Amino acid sequence: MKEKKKTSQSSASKDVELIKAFQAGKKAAFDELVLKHKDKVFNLCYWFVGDYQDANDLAQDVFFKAFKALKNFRFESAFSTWIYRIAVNTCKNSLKSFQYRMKKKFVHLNKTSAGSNPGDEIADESSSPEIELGKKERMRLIKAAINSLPPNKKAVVVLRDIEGLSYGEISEVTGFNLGTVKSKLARARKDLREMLKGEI
Amino acid sequence: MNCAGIKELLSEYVDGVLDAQTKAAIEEHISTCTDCRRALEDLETLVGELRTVEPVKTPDDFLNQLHERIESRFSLGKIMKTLFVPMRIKIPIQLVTVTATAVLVFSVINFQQPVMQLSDAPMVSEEKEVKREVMKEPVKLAPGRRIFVEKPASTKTVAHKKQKTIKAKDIALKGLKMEKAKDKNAFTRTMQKEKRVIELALVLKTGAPGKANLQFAPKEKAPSPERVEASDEESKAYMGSFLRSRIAGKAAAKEEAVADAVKKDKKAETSLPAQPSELEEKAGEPESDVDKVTEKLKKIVKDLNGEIKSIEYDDKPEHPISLTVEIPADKYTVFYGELKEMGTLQGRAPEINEKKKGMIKIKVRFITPE
Repeated sequence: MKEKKKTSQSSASKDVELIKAFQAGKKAAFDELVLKHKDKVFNLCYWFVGDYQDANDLAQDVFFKAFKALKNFRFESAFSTWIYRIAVNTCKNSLKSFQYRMKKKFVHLNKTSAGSNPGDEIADESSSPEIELGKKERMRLIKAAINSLPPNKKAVVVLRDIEGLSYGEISEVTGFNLGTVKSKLARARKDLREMLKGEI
Repeated sequence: MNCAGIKELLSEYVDGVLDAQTKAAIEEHISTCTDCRRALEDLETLVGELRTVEPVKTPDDFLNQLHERIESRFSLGKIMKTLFVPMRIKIPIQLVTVTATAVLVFSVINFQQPVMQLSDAPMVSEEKEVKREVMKEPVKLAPGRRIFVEKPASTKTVAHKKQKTIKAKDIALKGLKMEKAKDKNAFTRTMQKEKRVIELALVLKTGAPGKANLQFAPKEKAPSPERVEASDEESKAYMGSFLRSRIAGKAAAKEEAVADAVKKDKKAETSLPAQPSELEEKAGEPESDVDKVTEKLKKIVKDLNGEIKSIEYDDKPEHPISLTVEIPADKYTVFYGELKEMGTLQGRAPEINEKKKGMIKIKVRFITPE
């Protein structure tokens, strides 16, 4: 636990250095920040919207916004928290958009459409095809269940159980107080449990 | 703590964020309650599944794609900046307002100019400036009939001036077309009406014209709509006063005909409508021949600030058959009244806008009853 804290602290200080370098005019520093945080941001987007291509677009949007706003970064929070906040807001806005709703409707009618199949993009090096198939099936079910959650519950559960953020970090990212985070997470998990009852 | 309370805290229990006391209470309850224990197991399975989810692979060219996006957006921004460079000089809003108002007023005035030109366009006034000399030049009209007309000294000048007038009117017309397409027909009609020569037929009083007077009297019409409203009595009084003042001013030229007309006016003033006996009396009055009438008309025209344009003669130059005059439009009623005094007017008199400034042409044709 202490080691994890140490790692995160060193990571945060590295972020600060990179941001300062970027603010000083070193554009390459931003690339380093992107490479460091892209996977987390991409995953969050993927679990939020449930589509690989959409997740890619959203993740790029998130980093583009960060690129524009980084000059005015005031170091009041960690870069990771800041970029997660941008990501969550971008994803929430995307879910509200008309385009997304239309697409969701279309996908619902064509359930077997390519690209939106869960687990297709997941890196898997499992040996047995049966195990792989079982895992993919579980993934699909979990993804479908998460997708059916309301945005706030979805954000909390993804940030906690998939991204592994602490309650405090979730509170910072989402803007909810700690009690709300706890209750939302408990309800989201309950919902998921009910949805996945007998499946996993 | 009951089952509901325990289930509420299970999520935090799984995450290990509960204090030791609460954690102990939950563990104690779970050891006895199978339902709550199963709920905890389900929750732990779910959380375990979620935490073991394989991370999604980010595209390899993610950074390149991002670079492309940033470059394209920024170049677009540069283009937009180049196209719409923000002004660095601050212009006060008052100055902008004043300039805009001035431009608007100027454009409105310019737009209305054709109409103003039209109202100012002279009708026949240019010709008035040209000095004329009487050139008794016979013009063949019909066999056995010649006309002696007055011609302007310089036909070329007049023609040139006419062209100028026409040109001015054309411009004005164009402007009018642009502005008031609806009034186009009305305007054209007015112009035609104003330009034409008013023809009046005057049946002269002769030795036995009682018949003639009675014959043509019903055909007489009111000179203009403005005057129609005024009673006959009023109009006659108006004419009479005009004549009286004219005669008083020219005591030297005490012509019998004028004196008779004045007398007649007085009579008309006192007793209207005329009785048949009075008409008979009028028939017996001293007769006025064509020459006298012509001379009288010439004087009247001169008094009215008009001029004689042409005189049409019969075979014998002593007997004019028609007279073309040009008088100010506002004197038309007076002139018409004078003509009525000399005889009976045949045909309907055209309507003239007396308020209009300018000259009108009137051709008076003399009819001598047999």
